[in-house]
Amino acid sequence: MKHTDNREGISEHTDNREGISEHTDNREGTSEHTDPYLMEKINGTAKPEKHIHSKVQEMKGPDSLRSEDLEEEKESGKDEAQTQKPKNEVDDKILVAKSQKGDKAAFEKLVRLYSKYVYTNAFFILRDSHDAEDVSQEVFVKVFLSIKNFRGLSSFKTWLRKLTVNTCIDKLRIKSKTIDKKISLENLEEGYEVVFTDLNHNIERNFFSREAVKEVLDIIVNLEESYRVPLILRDLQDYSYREIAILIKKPIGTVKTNIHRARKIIKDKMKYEKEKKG
Amino acid sequence: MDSLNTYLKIAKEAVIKPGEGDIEERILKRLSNINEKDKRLLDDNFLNYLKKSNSRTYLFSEDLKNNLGKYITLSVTAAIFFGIMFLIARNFTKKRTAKD
Repeated sequence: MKHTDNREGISEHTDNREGISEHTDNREGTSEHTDPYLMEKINGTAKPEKHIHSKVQEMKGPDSLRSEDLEEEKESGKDEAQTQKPKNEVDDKILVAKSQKGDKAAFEKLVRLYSKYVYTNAFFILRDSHDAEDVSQEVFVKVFLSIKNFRGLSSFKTWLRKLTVNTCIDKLRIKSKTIDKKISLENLEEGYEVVFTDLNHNIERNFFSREAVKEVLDIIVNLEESYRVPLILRDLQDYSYREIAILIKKPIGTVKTNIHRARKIIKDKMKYEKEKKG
Repeated sequence: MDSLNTYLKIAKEAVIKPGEGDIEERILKRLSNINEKDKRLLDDNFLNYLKKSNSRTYLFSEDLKNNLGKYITLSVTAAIFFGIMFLIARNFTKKRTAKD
């Protein structure tokens, strides 16, 4: 599982939260960091078993996440999950803060709020429902184990999205080494159902727009990986060209060209479909 | 191209319904059964990402690199503003000195 982010320029920050002390990192491009475990891990002195185990135990509790006292939360959580959209960032911050204190119900709510979001992002990049689910589970396990170290400098959703993208890119890299690209292209995803979140009431009402969006997504999913991934990162994930170039390890010019071509393909295909229908 | 941009904007809000059953339940089930193997997911790459996402300076520098144009415009505007303010202040001081 190789990570793709090789950006440089970590600097310093301090965090006075409970249980977090100040450490110094002398690695290249980094200076000061706050999490003792991270530093131990980096310096090779970490005791992951003990550290993570205690973390998991704290989070899991005796009855784990599926304990009976969560039933009420589940009911309300399910309602929110139907809409798949957090009310606002403040809600997220509260849920994250509670999760950091070991509130299992709050973490479960986060899972219910964002599981489909993570799955969707993973699916568009990986184009395989099983891989997308694997990535979703992996992402939430990572979040579960490390949420105490999340400082909240960016929104939880952004953090989760970037984590998902990184995990997907890693997975694609591993896949590209093992699977013939031609075979994987032929083996396209069988079918999927697109639903729109509550913010898109107008779209839900407008059948033609909804169908057009589904058509666009269909074309994107069927694009070649070299076109699909940069386009998704740029147009659906709001990454900058520079970030995409770093992430997929391609020159920025290639990224721009591929995105331009991908948009042209989508446009042409939509035009063709329109002509065919009309 | 405009309509494509609109569709892509709307597509950001779209979610895919997982084909087989309830994905939330499966994730929660997995979380309730975390084992030693799962702990290996917190590898160096992930920790590096976590560290970066927890660094205010890093996030600012990334924002700066990603929106260079915005920051240049802001800097130039600020420089012009302070330049004008400086000139006004200097003229004001000169006039006062002349009066005295």
